[in-house]
Amino acid sequence: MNGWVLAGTTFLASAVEMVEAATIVMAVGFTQGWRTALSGAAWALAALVAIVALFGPLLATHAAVARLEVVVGPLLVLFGIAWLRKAIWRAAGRKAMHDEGAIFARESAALATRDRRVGFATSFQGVLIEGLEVAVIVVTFAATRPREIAYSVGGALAAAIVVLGLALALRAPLSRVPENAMKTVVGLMLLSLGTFWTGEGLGLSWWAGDATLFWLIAAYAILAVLLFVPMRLRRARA
Amino acid sequence: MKALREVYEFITGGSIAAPIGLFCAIVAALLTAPLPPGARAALFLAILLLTFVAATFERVT
Repeated sequence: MNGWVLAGTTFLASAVEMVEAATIVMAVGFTQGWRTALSGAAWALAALVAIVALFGPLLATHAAVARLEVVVGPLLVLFGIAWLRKAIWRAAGRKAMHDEGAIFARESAALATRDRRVGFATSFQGVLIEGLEVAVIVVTFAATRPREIAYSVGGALAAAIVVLGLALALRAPLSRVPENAMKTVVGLMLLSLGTFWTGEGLGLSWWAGDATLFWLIAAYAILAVLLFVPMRLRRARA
Repeated sequence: MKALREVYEFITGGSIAAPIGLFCAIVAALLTAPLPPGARAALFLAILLLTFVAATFERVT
């Protein structure tokens, strides 16, 4: 497995979740003050560290004994299908685009009439839920490929730095990030990695070894285009 | 019950076809052990590709 592919997948998957968390924290920051927003985010990060510290090593130890691929792979397949089909629906117009600007406006309006505890809870929950999704991705990748842990952790850290940098630079809703395109790529990667790992875990022999992963990405990408085009055309005619 | 539903939604994105198709692919891979390894991989992948198609044509959630 190419470590850079792993790092790239972790980077994109983490970045998508972090953009959502950053949008919520910014909405709280602008309406209830940065102290409330950042303290909620800080407590959520502390809770995340505790959760990963408690369950991460357990997962890694288990991976050393049993082949985690057959557990992690199916999860990634399900995550991948969920992400990719949503991206296709959005691109084809069957589902509304995920609009960070709209989320920001909705959160701002709701918070204007509530007290700061709600702001804290909103920031806390946003960071905790999105952060947990990042943690699940990073920990499962790291547990399945312990030798390449630096790549998966590095991918997530790079995403954190990039999104934080963007948030600080823009100081505005992050709707400029083309989220649907990012989600399409992430869905493809998760689905392909999940298929590859589940197959390995089941003892299947992939035709081209590790290079089969690239063939899987190509196969799913072609299929996604074949599904998207008629859906889009039908939508346009309706 | 609500928590279970949320966990299911979190993992599958609300799809019914995806977990069923995945289960069928795994069972097929396990039951076809006498076949050549390459053929088993092809069958496994074919079922997953069909699963993806079915999940994409499900009701929008």
